[in-house]
Amino acid sequence: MMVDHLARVIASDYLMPLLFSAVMFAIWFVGRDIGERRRFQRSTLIGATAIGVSNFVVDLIDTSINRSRPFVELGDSMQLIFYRSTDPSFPANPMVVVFSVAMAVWLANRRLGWALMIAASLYALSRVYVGTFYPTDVIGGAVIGVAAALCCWFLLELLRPVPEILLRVLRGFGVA
Amino acid sequence: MMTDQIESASALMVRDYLILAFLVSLGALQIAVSISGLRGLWLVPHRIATRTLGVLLVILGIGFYVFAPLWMEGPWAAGTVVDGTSEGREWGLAASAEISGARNLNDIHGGMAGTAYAGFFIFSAVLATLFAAAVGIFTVRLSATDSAGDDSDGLDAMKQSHAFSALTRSLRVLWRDGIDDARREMRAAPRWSIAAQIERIRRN
Repeated sequence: MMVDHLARVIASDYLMPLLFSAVMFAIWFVGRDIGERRRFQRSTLIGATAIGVSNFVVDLIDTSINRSRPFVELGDSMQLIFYRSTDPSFPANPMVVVFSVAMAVWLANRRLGWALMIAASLYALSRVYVGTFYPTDVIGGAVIGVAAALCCWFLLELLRPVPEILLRVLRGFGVA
Repeated sequence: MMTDQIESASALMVRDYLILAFLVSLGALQIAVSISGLRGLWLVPHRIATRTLGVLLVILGIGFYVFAPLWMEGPWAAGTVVDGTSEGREWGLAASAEISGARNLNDIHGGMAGTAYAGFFIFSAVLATLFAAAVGIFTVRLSATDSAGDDSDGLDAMKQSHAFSALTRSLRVLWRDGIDDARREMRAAPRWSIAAQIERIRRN
């Protein structure tokens, strides 16, 4: 079925997270003046920090909630069209990453942020469709990702002017 | 899969992922620098051509990654990629009907762990930036821009000059204005920031 093929490609471990990382990398260079570029660069900093923080949260949750994958629980009543993952199902780790990035970008640019939110939702849907996650796993991952990005934004605001000074130093080395 | 076959699969996946990440990073970079006009990182000396090249590089990277199993042997032999699972696969070329599941490999069967591909992405992105900076030396010369009298620094300096000239100018400006800029940022910090709170306590 065409939908199965499409879902398997979108659900890949590598493609969508790579595209989100590429967007986060590229927006570092976007901006017609220093003010606009700085806003985007702060968003890259927020996204990168949020990925680290949210993965730490996922590791903590994994030690306490060890939810089995849907294909283990449901057995033959569902058809798995992806490989049999061996790590805990809740929360969906890939969703944590893509929603962290989408939220961080949304803070700098609403239009691009919404586009990434839609792409992240499509990724979440494909992961449920291929049978590796329950819907609640991807919702949990999305909530953690968004919350981590917002917490990192707040932290960076509290730490001002440290991020600005860091960006100023990087500008001195020609990279910001 | 046998242990040596898993190791071969792992090496193959790493190599192909590095190619994918390099092409996609370079493409995304070209799109970004065409928007912001950073000529020092353009691969071709024209804005629209740079953006088009960026889009093509992203498509090429994804196309290579998805379709390479059709002509490159790996753990995706025709008939063994059953429903996209990664157990019990044989080495060979993929069938076109199984191409969508060919790359879906669990890390215990030769796929990559999350931390590994995050590291490979950072490496590829840095490599793509250095490559664009090196090519930018020639594109800036071809576009015949004049940076004389220009005092911009950081990435802004690359609007008119190549990366290495921008670096020396940025370092000079940092040496000259760095401390003043840091002081200005300190003064501009909002009242509720930790730095401003510490400063207020210190004064009282």
